[in-house]
Amino acid sequence: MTLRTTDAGHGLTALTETANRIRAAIESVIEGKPDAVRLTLTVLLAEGHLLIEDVPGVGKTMLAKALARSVDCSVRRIQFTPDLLPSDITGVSAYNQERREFEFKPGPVFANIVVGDEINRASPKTQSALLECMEERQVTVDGTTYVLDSPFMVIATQNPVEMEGTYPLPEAQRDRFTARISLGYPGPEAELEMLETHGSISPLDQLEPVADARDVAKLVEVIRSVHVAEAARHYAIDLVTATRTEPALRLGASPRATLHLIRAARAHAALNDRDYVLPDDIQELAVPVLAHRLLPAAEAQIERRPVERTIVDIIERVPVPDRQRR
Amino acid sequence: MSRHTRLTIHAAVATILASVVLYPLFVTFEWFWPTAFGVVVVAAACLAGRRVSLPAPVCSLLGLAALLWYLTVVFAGSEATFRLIPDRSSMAQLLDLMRLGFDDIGGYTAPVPALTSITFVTVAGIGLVAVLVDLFAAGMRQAALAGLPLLAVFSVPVAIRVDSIGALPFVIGAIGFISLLLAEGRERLSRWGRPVLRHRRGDGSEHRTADIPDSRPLAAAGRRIGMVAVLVAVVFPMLVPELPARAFLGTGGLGGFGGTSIITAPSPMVSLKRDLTLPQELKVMRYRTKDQTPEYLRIYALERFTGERWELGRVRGRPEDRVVGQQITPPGLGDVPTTPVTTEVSIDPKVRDLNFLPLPYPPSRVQIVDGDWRVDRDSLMIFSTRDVASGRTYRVTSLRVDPSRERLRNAPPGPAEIRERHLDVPGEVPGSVWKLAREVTDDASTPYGKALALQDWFTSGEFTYSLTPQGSGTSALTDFLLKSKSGYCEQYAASMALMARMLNIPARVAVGYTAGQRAANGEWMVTTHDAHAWPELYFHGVGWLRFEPTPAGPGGQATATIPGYSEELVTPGPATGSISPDSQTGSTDESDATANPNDDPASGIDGGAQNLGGGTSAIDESSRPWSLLALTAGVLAVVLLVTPMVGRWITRRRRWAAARSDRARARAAWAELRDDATDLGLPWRPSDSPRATARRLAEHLELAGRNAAPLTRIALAEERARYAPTPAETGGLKADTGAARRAMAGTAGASARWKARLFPASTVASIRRAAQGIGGLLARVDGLGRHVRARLLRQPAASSLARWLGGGT
Repeated sequence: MTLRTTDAGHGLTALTETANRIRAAIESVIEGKPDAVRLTLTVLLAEGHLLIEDVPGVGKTMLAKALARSVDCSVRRIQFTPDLLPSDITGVSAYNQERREFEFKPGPVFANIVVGDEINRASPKTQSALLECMEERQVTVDGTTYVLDSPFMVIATQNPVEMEGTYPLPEAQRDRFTARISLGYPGPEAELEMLETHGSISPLDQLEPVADARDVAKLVEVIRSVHVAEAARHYAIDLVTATRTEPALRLGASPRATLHLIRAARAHAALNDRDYVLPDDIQELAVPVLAHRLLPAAEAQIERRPVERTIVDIIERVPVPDRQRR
Repeated sequence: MSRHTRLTIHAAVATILASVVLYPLFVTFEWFWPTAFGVVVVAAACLAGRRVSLPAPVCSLLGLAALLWYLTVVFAGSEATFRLIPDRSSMAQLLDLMRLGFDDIGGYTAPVPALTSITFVTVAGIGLVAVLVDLFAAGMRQAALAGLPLLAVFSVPVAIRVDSIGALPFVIGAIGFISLLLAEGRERLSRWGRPVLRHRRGDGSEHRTADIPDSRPLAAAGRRIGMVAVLVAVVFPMLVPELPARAFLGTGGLGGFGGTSIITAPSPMVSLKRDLTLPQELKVMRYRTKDQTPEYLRIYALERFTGERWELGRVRGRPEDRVVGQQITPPGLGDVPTTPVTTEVSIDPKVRDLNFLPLPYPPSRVQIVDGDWRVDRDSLMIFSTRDVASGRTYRVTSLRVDPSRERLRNAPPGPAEIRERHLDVPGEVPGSVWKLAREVTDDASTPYGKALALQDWFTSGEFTYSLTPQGSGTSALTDFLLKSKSGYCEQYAASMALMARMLNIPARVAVGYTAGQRAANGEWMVTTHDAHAWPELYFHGVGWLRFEPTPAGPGGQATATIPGYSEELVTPGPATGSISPDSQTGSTDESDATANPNDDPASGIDGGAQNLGGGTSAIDESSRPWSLLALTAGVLAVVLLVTPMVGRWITRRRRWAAARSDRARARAAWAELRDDATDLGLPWRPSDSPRATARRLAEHLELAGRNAAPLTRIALAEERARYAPTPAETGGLKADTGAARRAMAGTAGASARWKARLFPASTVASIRRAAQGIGGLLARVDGLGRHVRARLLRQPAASSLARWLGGGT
């Protein structure tokens, strides 16, 4: 008996090859964080946006830059500061003396990959300007709408809210990011290796692009064709619904979260050589996709019970549907 | 609203609901509203007392006073001062009503019309019950005790009517009592004080900290348990036809299983009266016999006189007293010439609740197919605690005893045991009756002579036959004997038996039917109008003999006959006019009925007799209910033991047989794996995906490599069946299932393996799932009640009432 877990001719093989190339490229820069790299790739293929949250100096910007550079596409980086204005992101209409008309000067948001560094240092007004672009994939300035490039991905980094001089992102805006990851400190060995390589050369400079925007667009097409069975959809809904009734949570996940979860699960399945989504995909992605959207209840905060822990509990509690429902 | 209020209201509601069971006793429903309002008045008075913190007994006294006031206003308003205040004359009026009420209750058979007097007794009685229920439930906080007065209400229709309470009134009454119990339980919980924790509800709103703990879950659980209990109580007896309703209510129920049966029957006198007063004549039974003048068909022998009425004495049916194949020896019968008479009786199927067989006395042999029929050795009543006689046909051989006058005159006094049980006269019987008994029999010197003198006196024309006697209790008897001299067979039989006892003749009252009337086809028909009671007197060496004090013919019990051994002295007597011999079938032949009826060539029922011989089927001698019971129990036990195992086997077969597609086979393999793991007691988490499950099982069993492969294959197949657009090929999956089972069983212990084989837990799990489904259904029904209540009580004015009733919901 043969059990095929891949369907040839579905573009999956090509996808896996391309994805592995990108992954290898990023991992040459970010050592010892395969999970984070994998998740970054998943979000890229799921047409989502990524929020990297961690203390300074663990390689947040490096990860964002490595991804941007390994895919040969337009990359813009915005360093968010308290005095940054919305027009610094979206672009401005400037008066052209010669042609005697207003001319639109596109801002840094007009790129395939936008790296928003330390997004929580900007004022909420500026943050929201970026977040609107993220959701709608278009910019409206002076009544004219400009469509953004495709693929379009925002990789935002932020410091934990406890750090000084930050404006925490409101829940509504966090909800627009598909996933949030923390890099965490590298292991001793990885750190040692980093010292060796980074001491002599900058690996980022040596990084050659291994794919281009067209490749990524093709991959996204393949991902969209990944099958999500009704049972899997129901499972995602069950999990999200459970966060809404969970007593340890003050705010549950939104319907948008369900959508993001399924999209990310598709990408995750494809990256695992599968053309259908499993509950396992959903389970693995539940924490990064849901955690940043949820608010713990007062009791959970007092007990110092992280939201991630609550999500794991929910996963262990919610049964996997084993048959089609009515 | 205070807790007192809730308990008081629930107590009143429970009483009103319980009173509904009285409805079969009345013709109309008019009695209900005054009764219900009386309960409300009592509750209001008790509540008022509780409001001003009076002690519980004082509250009950207030309730009693309110009841008295209510009765005065409603039933004696015309006599009371200002129509409102009870005084001496209104009290007298109420007492009169009460006396009249008891008389009317004694005089009518249920269902009774809603007479003022009877309604008065009902309102007063239910009012008293309401006071007691309120005292127990609200005053003493012992709602369970309140069940006793409520039970008393339930026992009234059971005692008076032959049939038991219907399912609906029972359910209504039970709901009232359960709600009272629940209210008390919640009240008890609320006394624990205020809860400290705050709860967050699903909708995110903060739950206001209540003054009392949330007892709604308790109430919901209680309602569900109550629902199930009532449902089981109502439905179970319906589903088990072998278990008559009487078995739950009467004392004889369990005696049927081998032990001695002590049985109680509804008062035979009550059903006798009911039969006689029925407006239409209903068929009771028919029978065939060669006897030209058949004997009466006796059902009961009442040997205990309470001072008011004759009742069944001790009736015993031991397992060895089963009538099948049994030769019955009549007590006290010596060497007197007897003629055996065979009678084939068919009881009409419409006859209800008859557990005693109507038989000519004394039966010597009874052939009846099926059923556990036993004979009481002393009275020769034949009865069953489990089976009823309706629709049955049986054959009885009885003895026609024909003692000579000489023999009767010289009969010695009976043995001590007979005399002990059948000479008892209660102390409250007035001396005038004793005196009368002596006067009537003054001329006679022997017991036999005295018996004849008594029978003679009753039938001499001094007494008139009437179906509406006056008075009740002991006074009724003295009334009948000394004043009115008007009554029906009950009074005649009861009086003659009592007077015989006074004259030192052992006596009892028999209840049953007269011989009935002969139909054109030679069969004898017995109807409700042939219901009868007569005295049986004991003469040693002869046994129990029937006498007939009730006037016969058109002016009396139409089909009554005077037995031959007591007739001789009657015929030349001065009072023959009161009996019209012509109207009695064959009574003139009686004197030469030493009479072997079988020899009578003129008998026109030879054809019938042939039928009779051919028609009776042989009695199944081998039917031994005892061993049958043991066998049934054994089979049942084996079936119960084998059921899980067979259930598992059938499930497996069915699963594979039904699996035709790849997807279905994958699912079957997965379901099998799940059941096998469950049977072996391996962990199975519903929150695990198939591959996670396979991984966990393999880790748990420490399977690796080849051993784990079938497990993984099954998991992947199931995974694809569930989530992939196209299922995997499943050719070897059945073999994989077997391999996986063996792999799992191999690592489990021997005891776990045997347990999995004999008592597969997966079968139990499916039963549990079914139970959960029922639980969900109950919860939905429960929620329905709340929904309806919310709908009904939506108006703001009613919302505070809703809060009391619903306990803060």
